[in-house]
Amino acid sequence: MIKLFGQKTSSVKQERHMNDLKFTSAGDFLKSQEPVKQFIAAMDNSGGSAGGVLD
Amino acid sequence: MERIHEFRLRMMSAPEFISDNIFGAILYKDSVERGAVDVLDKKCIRSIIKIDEGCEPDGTLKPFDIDGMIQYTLDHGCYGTKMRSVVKSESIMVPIVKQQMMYAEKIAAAGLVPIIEPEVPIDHPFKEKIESDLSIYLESRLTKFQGDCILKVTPPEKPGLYDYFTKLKNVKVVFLSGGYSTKEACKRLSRNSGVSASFSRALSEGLKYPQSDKEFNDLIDSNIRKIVLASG
Repeated sequence: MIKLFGQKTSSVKQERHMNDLKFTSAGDFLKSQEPVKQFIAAMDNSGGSAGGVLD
Repeated sequence: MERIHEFRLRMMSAPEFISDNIFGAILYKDSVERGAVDVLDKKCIRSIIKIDEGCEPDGTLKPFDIDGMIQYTLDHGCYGTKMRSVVKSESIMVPIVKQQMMYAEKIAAAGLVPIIEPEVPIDHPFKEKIESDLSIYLESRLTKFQGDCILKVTPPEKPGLYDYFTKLKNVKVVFLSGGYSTKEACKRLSRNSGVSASFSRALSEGLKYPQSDKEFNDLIDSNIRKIVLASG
């Protein structure tokens, strides 16, 4: 079960710091010499390249 | 814009869209304004903002307020930034990388992780040559880079081309899908060790707005599992 964070944008950084252990390690992703199975979801396209997703 | 935002929220809500599979998600500023960072925070997935304003006809970045976007990224508790350029010719490759690195140094100095993306079009007639030149020039620049960064590149014609960067402690290499199908993007990814994905097209392949939640979730979960399997 994922614990919910606070909702106020102004406190996001502080909340994230307090809950940092809930996030997977950035160091593991960036610096591990072992295979990393996580990836980055690119959600910054308009949908056009995905072939008319809104049709 | 409402529908595309709803579409993205459905993607983020899928059962397999979790931090075990997804390290971070790249968002438009519009998605940030609509509360996407909070949605991702609840899933312990890092938010990364696309900060550029698109490309000039030659593929370099259009002018944008880099200082303002750095501050915006910090204010919204995001992990990093992304800027995409398009390497349309060999002659524009060096100016593109210089521009990306100039901005990346400012971003890293602010404590953020920049994604630098000098994309080589997948159908470029000289793709392999440009990729080879790009990797050589990037090596000369990234070796000296202070701070962490993520290098987002087109899956190369020559497997292992970016191996050098996977050994650097401050650089993570990820591949874009760039118009390749999920199957082709994953095949190319699996041929390169130490590399992860940063897919858009290949992540959303087959998804349609009118699909039922089950159809939608089954498809994106399947895409996520394929990408995870091919990563690393």
